[in-house]
Amino acid sequence: MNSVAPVVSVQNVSYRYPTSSKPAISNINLEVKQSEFLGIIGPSEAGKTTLCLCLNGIIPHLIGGDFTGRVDVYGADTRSRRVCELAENIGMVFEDPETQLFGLVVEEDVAFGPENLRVPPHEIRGRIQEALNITKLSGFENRETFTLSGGQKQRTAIASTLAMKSSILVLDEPTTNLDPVGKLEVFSVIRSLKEQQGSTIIMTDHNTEHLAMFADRIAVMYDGSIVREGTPNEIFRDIDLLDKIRVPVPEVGRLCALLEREGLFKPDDFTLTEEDLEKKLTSRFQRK
Amino acid sequence: MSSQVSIRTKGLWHTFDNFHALRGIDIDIGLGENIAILGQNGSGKTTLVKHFNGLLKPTRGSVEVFDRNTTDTSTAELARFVGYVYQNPDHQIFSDTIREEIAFGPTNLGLPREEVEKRVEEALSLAGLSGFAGSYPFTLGKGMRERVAVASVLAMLPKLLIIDEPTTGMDYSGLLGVLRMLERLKDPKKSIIIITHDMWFAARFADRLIIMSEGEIIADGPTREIFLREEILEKAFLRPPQPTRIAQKLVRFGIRPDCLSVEELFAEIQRLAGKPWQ
Amino acid sequence: MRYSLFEPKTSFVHSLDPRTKLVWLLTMFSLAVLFVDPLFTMTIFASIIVVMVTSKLSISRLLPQLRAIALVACMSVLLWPIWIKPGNVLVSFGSLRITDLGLFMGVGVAFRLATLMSVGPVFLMTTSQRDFIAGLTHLKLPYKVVFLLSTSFRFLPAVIGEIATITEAQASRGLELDKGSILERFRKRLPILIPTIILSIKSSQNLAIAIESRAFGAYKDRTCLSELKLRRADCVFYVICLSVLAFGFWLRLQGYGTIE
Repeated sequence: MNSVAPVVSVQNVSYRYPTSSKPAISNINLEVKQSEFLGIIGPSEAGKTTLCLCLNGIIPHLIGGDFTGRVDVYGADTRSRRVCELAENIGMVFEDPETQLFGLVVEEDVAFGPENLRVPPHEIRGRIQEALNITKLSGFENRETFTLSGGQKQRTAIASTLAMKSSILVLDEPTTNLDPVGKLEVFSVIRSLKEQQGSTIIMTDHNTEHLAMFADRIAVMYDGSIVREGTPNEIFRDIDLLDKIRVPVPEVGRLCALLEREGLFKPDDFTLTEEDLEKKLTSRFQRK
Repeated sequence: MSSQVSIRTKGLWHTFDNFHALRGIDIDIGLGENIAILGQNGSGKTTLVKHFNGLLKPTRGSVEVFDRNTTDTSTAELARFVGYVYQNPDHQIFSDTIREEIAFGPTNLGLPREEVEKRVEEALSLAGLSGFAGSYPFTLGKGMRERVAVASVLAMLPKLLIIDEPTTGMDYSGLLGVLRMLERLKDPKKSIIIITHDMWFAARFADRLIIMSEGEIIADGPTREIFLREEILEKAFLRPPQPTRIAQKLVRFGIRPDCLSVEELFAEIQRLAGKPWQ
Repeated sequence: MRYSLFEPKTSFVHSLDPRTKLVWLLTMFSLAVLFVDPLFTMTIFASIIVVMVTSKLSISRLLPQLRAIALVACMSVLLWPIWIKPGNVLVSFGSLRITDLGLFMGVGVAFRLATLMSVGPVFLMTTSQRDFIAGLTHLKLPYKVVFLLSTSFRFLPAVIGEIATITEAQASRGLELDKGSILERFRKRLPILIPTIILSIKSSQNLAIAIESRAFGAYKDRTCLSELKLRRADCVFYVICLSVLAFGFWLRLQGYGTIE
């Protein structure tokens, strides 16, 4: 059997926070392949953030607590490497745009990671330019960070991880605190990272509309466990499960599922894209 | 002055630092109305709403709230009628127990202790927090803290309730909880205004939509009507909810263009499907 | 709202390397502390006025600092003579004697304090925050310290904004900050203080995680994007400052500029 080795492998991981009596995540098993886009959905407190923090070693190194199981990144166990070393491979973008930007201006923030990795200044400049290009922030080098909009801040955070040349990008609810314009900006950057750069992306969200369109695979988390895994089409037609655990079903998907139940749509007709659905409905109506 | 009007603004301008945040706003808000104000960041929606409880005073024009001119009335005085729930509950919560937190507002209004206690109990039950009165608010989840913040404002028995972005950062379950709570609060003698970007939420809660862009009101009317006006919504960088957009594309087959939800659209398709399709 | 004193202008002082300006600051500080003779301290203060003028600083922005300096200077001139008894009496009001020594001290210390209180603002008005941090980094201060400072600059506007929001939120619940006795007004600050502190703690936790995730501390040393180069003007200025400082020390050791 010839299979490409996963770049991230989570094996039977459980974790309990120091101040908590019950585990935040239990028996998580997950694999992510090179250039794959994995979306992790689930309600608040399902353990999505906890899982992300296990990927770059923040758990267990920084937070302590009870950690069992094993996380391998490019074959190396996260328990045996320091967080700052793992950061060379995994770039993380967090939910709050404000507390992950520490530079006075954009350029300084994007340079922070490479400076820590002892990248020489002239190379840092090149990386900054490239990163700002990809995140559509060219020209923002000297903008003060506190004047940026939410969407611009998150894009700067993404640029900062790109400048570190991490091949795996983990984004924990990056658009949750943004307004619709900001959400679109960030998603457009993530999409181009997937389509043009071929990055490996792991992204969590409690909304599902955008992940449904771009993710290769979806893992559904609830109460600390992964309850289902599959392609977006497989996951989002199971509206009973998603309604039960209070995860929003993308509206297009819900309509398709309802139509299938009524016998008006065949299983093949299931789609998550608005344009596709319109075409299918139009052709149905025209045939009548 | 009609006592059916909660708020009336006339020619309201607000300028700070040479920037016109509001350019000539004229609106009336009546009792019993449930309104969503939509628009992008910078459109002036928060600036407008801060005039309703006196946090901001007009640079030009006037604002009357329950027959009081806000220029001459303090925020503390207006707090008797206008409750403002801020977007982040952590900007408000500071007490050791939820009970004390909810009692803060009524106590500031100078009410006697029995009245304060009575209001705290009512607010606890309205927000679904009855079992948690003695809990330490800082250890609760975000959805619960949001409800504590709303309960704290409800205890002041406002005739106008303003909620700033109740949906940001909330998961689906939290959103449904907030919607349910808001439905319970709807009252013909009170007004509720929410500021939001979330079309889905506005579709389910509001009877009337006010759309703002660049300091002006560009649309104001019943929810179903406004959702049909795609060009106006675009100016505010908004789009109608997905089911509405799809319905509009299928109008020529007999589908109502103003479907607000998947359920409504599904019902329409069922109605027209008649004979089984291929 | 302006969060820093810095005014971008073109002047000789503006164009100096931040490290040079730090050396100047330390020199002025040392000289001010070395001497107490009004002639000396006045000269030192006058040199700072010259720097202010050549940097084209706008007096209007400096007003709060100037007022504070004037206040402290007046207090010095008035209080020292009351304190110092020895010397030749110049004037006396009843049991209060004003001696020449007292006045000497009063005026001398006044100029010393004026110097100490004005070098900081002059430095900040002619040096951007970024350059300041770059200067400290290139002076090989421990990076953790420099980072602490630059992060404080970065978050100052955000924290001020949060406090304003919290104040508004609590005012909307009927909190009236300006009424009541001193003790009551103090207690009324709690609903503003507590959320601020809690939000700061949460933010610092997030910050700590974010910093680690960007490889902070991966190696013992780190590179720096901003490259500072000393120009000829900087070197000349360094030499001048150090010479003046050395001369000052020598004068002081010879017994000038002070009293026994």
